Amino acid sequence: MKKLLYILAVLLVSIPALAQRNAHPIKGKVTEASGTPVVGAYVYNTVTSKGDVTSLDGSFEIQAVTGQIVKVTCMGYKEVEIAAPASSILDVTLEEDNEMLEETVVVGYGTQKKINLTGAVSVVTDEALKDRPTSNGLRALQGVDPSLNVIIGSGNPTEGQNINIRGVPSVNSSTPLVLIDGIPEGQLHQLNSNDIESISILKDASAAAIYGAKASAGVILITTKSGKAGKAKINYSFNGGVTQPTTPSDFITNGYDYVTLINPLYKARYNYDFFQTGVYDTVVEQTLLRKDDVKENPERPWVTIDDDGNYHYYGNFDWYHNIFNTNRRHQEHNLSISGGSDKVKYYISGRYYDQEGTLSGPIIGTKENYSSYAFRAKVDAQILKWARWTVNGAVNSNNQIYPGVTNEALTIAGLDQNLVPIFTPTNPDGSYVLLPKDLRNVFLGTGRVAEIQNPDTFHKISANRITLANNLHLDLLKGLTFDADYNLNFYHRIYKDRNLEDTYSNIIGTFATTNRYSKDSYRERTYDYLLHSADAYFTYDTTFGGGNNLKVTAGANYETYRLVDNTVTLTGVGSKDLATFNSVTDDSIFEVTQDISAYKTLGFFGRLNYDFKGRYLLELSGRYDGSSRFQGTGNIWGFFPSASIGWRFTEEPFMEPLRSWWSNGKIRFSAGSLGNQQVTPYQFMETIDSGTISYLFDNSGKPQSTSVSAPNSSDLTWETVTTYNAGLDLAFFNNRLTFTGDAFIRDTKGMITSGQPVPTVYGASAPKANSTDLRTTGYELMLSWKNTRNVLGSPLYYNITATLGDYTRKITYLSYENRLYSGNYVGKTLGEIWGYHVPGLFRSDEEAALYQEAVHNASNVYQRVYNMLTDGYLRAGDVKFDDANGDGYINNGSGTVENPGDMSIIGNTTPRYTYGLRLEGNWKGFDLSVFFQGVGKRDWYPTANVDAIYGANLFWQLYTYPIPSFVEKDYADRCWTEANPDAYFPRVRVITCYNGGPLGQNNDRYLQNAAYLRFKNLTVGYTIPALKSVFSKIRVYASGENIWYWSPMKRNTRVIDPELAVSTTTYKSGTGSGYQMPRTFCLGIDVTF
Amino acid sequence: MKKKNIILTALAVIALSSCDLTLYPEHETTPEQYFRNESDLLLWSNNFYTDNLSGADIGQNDADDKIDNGLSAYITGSRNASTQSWGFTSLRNINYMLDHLDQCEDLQVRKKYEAVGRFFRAWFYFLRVRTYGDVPWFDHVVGSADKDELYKDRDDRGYVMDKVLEDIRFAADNLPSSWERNNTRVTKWAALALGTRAALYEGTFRKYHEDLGLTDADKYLRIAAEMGKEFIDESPFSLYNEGTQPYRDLFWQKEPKTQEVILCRVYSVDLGVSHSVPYNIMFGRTSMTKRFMNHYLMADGTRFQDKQGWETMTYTEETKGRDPRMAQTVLCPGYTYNGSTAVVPSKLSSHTGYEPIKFVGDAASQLVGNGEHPWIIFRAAEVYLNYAEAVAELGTITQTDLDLTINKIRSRAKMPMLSLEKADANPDPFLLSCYPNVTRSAHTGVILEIRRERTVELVLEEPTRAWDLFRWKEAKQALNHFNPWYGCYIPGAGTYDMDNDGKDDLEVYASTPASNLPTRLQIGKDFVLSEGDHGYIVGYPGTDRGGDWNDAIDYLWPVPKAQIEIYADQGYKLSQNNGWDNR
Repeated sequence: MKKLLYILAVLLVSIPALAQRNAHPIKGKVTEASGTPVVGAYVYNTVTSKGDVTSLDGSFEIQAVTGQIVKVTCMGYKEVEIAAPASSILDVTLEEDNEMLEETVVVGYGTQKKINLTGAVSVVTDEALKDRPTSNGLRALQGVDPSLNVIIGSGNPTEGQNINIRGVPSVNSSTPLVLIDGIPEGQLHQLNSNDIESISILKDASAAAIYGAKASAGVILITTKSGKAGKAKINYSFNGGVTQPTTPSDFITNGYDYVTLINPLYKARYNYDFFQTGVYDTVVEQTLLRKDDVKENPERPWVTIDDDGNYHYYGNFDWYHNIFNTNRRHQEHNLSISGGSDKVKYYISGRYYDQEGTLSGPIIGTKENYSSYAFRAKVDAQILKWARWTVNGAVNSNNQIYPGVTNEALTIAGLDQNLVPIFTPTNPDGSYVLLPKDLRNVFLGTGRVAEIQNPDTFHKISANRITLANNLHLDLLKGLTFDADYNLNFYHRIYKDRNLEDTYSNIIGTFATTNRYSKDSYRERTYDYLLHSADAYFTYDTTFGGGNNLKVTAGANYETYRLVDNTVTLTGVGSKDLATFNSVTDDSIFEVTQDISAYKTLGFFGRLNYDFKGRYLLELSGRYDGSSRFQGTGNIWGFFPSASIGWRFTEEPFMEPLRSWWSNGKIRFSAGSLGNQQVTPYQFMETIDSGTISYLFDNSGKPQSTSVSAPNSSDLTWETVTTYNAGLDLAFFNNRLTFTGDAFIRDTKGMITSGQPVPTVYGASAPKANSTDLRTTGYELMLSWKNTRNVLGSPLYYNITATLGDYTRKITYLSYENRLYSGNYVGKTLGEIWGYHVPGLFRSDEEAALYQEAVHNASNVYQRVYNMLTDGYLRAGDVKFDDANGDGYINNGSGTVENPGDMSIIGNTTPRYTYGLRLEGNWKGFDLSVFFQGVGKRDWYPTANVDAIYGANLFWQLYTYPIPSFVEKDYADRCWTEANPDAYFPRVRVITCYNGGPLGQNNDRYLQNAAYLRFKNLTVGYTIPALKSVFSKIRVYASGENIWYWSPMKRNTRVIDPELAVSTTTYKSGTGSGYQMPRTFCLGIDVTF
Repeated sequence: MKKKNIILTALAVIALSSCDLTLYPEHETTPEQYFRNESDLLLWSNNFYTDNLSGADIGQNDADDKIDNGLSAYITGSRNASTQSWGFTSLRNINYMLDHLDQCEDLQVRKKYEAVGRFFRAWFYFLRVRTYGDVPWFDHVVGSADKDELYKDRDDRGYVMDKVLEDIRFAADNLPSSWERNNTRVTKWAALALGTRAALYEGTFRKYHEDLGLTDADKYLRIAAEMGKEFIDESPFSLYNEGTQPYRDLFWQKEPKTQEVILCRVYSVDLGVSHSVPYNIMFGRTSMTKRFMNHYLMADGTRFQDKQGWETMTYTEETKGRDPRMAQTVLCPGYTYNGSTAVVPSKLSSHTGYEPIKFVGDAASQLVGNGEHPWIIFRAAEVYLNYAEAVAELGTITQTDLDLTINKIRSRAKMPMLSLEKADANPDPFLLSCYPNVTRSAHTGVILEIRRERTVELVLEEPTRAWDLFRWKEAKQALNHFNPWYGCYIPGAGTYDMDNDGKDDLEVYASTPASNLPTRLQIGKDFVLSEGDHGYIVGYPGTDRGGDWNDAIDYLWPVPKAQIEIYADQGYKLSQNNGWDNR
């Protein structure tokens, strides 16, 4: 307090005092020690905050009173403070800041100077992740590095980690190795992102080789924060805000509008009105009466009861906003304490996060909620002069509760059918509406509407992880160190599911129960694994003979893993209030299943780094790896070598003249080969598998049965991934402008797929063989500019980083080929979409009739149209499929590449040209960060997928069956009518978007361009320059995530986010239906004591 | 000090390197450890049922008696060798167990499961022979390296059928006589029933398809007769005959009628194993044809075709006074769901106007996946019919044979008895027109009556009608290309009383309706009539459905072309059936 008063006193006294004296101009030059001028340095008077930026010759001019402090700052140099001289001349010499040269990067089993890297390694710092209002760190990683593809399949915060580096290198499963502080099986979405200090992405084989067969898809190394010697630093941060879907939800909620839109469509197709049968002919009339009743008017109730007691519905019910919460609140609290002495350092952190889920609208019984707790404690102790011990323990708990059926995505998918506004969720007596007679004996919302309302139905997932990392580091001799690690990763996930039968009512006082969609049951599933890993390695670092630097690392790694997945289901629970296996009835049935998966691996690894004067760089590494996954084959062990070289040509004497502006230049080349051990365990042994079958012998439940696994493949071995990488690192103007580029070819050889076909009489699928080769080619570019500018007399620090990455994957070899385009063939680019060409819609009935006559009836495209009851012919506004090969048939020929009929490649689902653009600025305590991210090219065909009927209902809306729940108010305006012949969508014919219908056939007219540009994040912060004696920092900020997006798809559909459209992780994969993408706005505060 | 450390750490590295990477599955056994006791064998053989026995489904095999929304490939002429495939997975599973049976030390158990395995192997091969004629016979699992055996050509159908009947004989001698309370597992009696079905098929197929160069028909007919007789004499089965409508109750009630049902699949909506047969009848528009309806006799045993004006009778008229099974099979005036809800057959919502109600219990069962009545695989009535037909075709039939079989069925249906003498004396001209290829002999009359009985009794059940037409060589004239599917007769525009309650409930109109009856249907739009403004409702009007049936080719399916190519790639030959090389 005393200190504060003193500062205030000094300020009060000195300001008028200073102002009395006269400032005089001061001119000067800023140079390096060598005399080279420094361009763009910022020179300013700290008292007046006014300054100048040096010009090309390094000169500047400012105003200052003698003795005032002048500051000179420039990126890449150490900051200088000088008292203003009485003279008008001030020359300043800046010393280079060697931070960049000294910057180290975490690599496998050690660190390395960034400047000396020869492999392809990207580093992401915590800057990119902080202040992002995302539910977990994984979501913040999207777009930050051009090689790292973070696939966000839905807005569900519990969605698992789906990432790849430079594309998946195999047609089989292959995911990057993620190590958090050296602990395998790292899951970014279950990590407190505030704990992350840096992330290294090892992209090529040379960087990843030291991890051997686990690293064929690349490695992600995450390093968490550590304590630093000094006084305890306490940081608390909070943010809270709301999350909305990225897409609008302006759907028809008016019963009359809906009924009068749908009825004519069914009339045209089936010659009946959808909403009109028998006694309730009156639905149009009745809904018209209530057309303007946003709320139910007691004089005109939405549910009426006829003479026989049947309910009839004439409402204007907004199903979407009653089910889905479109303004979901969240809050996050984070606290960390760090500090220590020279000998012992500590870092302790905790996080609490809580968010409302999408299924938490007004009618939901068990509101969806997600919460997460995290705790970490890290202690680093110098036990002896030559021995250091680090222990790092973390606990993470993620919890979700939600209504509906066990598979939440299925609930969401099911709800997009026939939730018609005329129906209400409950009858006047409170009973559920589920199978209303007025809906032609179809379950409302595929039978999900009763479950989501029932407060006794719930699903809880609790995912808990405990990790413990121990490291013993010994300094044995000069330059020789030894590290021993023992790590543990225990994961325990428990699902608790309480389901109940659905009770509903169609007739007043009469209640019916169905267990069709939900049975009276309680299920617990525990999914646990325990992973131990141990490493021991030596590192020897030496310099000899004037400029020769050598570093050698060698050691071994052992890992065991065992996963047990147990499920117990009790059908027939004694009490509806209880969720325990002890609550039974005499009809209760227990069902238990178990799955165990385990592996052991052992590897010996080594790496040698050599450089001559930092100019010629060489790295050799290799690993001899054994994996129990290859049990049953003769090839448990494999050796995987790699090599890389680099040349920092800017260190050559001949580059001397350019050194003033060309700070760094390095070319790199690497090659290496890795095995892929990510194969199903026990794939190579015949085993007896058991399971229940859907076949009854009596009423005691589904019987068990056994069968044998697929026949042995005796000569099977590792898939190998060989990567060639060429890189270029450039830096100019003292590292203010930097560029990194990498280009690569990655060959995956011997992928395990079905080999030579065997005759059907063999009775089993052809034994798998190492039969397919894949080549991935791609590049990544990163360009960054950072500088300081004078803006309104204060320095503005800013930087801009742009990234671009791309890859394609092609099949290069197959041991056997049938040339079917639906499978793999040599030359196939993975992700291809084959489809028909649609030149347009028929302009007239005559044109359509002529066409129909010309093409053959049986062709699959038209069958649906021809089968239509009342209108078995094509008409104006129908889709015209091009008979590309002119054979009179619209078909796919023999389905082969050589004879695809009228099909051709119309698009590709692989995301191309993924890019990011980040701007950051800092001025007068204000900070701003803007982040854009996107995909340059990607295609999506909105078709049916999971089964014959359920499809991309949100896209096709009026073309679906059963009738859609959510129809945009202006959707019909985009459909063909005689008055609107240039519409995008064709003549409306119901049930034509599924597999057998014309719109279910991939074609180029309705192929969607799912490229997008997303305004991913905007953060504006202000550091309050007050109370410095109490708080070392107080910052408030506002942040928005997924604020806006642009996509060509928006022209045709506004209600599907392009990322959700292509998602394969929703229940109805590739249909755009699922947990909506989140758009979040928040306010936060960050306080450091 | 430091040296010590180095030694210690070096030791740690060595310790790691001695780790053993052997790891066998914990939760699964290997085949060598399995097949040791009855439980192992029972669980393994549970899959035989799902793999082989067909589930409840009436959607397959349209023929001259029934059509629905989708037409079978042999009708549309869209069978071809390129898209054909034959599955052998279930055979591998059967042979896999038979190959490992020596791991079971209990000889009794071993024999029992050998019989189970051989029952299903016979089932598997009977279906393959019926479809493809010649097929390669394997009685053990063949390895992928054993090319000469794996890639062998097809065996003669006679050789395979002899093996099939050998397996069935073994199964009949070694299977238990009873097993589960619902008769859901294979027994001695199921084996005999299968024997009659398979041997009758092969016997009649050979008899009526002499042009394919087949002989020995009588050998198989005799086996069918012997096994049928063995079943009739020794089995505990009889016809279910309780309640007022035993025939109808047999198919829709949830509990199988175990005095008649030899083998069936059971369902339970509660347990999540259900079917959609009642739903499909309604929403798949299952439709019976006029030709089928004409097979029913009058309730007094006289022929419908003997009635004046039978060809132009309206729906309400033609359904009066017929074999009681008609109203228990097809929606007729007076029909009610189980319980009380009356159904007015006014909508004519099937393709022909005739909608089946066999298998339909209550309205609720007509929801998707709400069907849970058992699906009968074998019942005593079929064995009786098989036996009667076998002895009739052999020419050894007697009145006693009829009394043991057909007359039991007629008696349950409350129909007069069939007399051998009368039937043979006066073959029904209508039936003769339906089955022009029937052998002309002293017993032509009774053979036709047996076919009539089979047609009405087993309609929509297994074995489906189409297979009967194939073995009798009657497909050509019976299928639509040559003989349109007609439905009920509509004399023209006007109003009709469809439920026979004295009040009209259907209006048929030409251009505009004149009434406000609940159902109003427009000629030419809601249905097409054979004579324009009147006549029979035409199922699938407008287009010829079906290819040009070729008797020399079409009774067998093509061998999958893809298979022939795989064999050829490896230097082996897999032969194709006659006429399918380029189709």
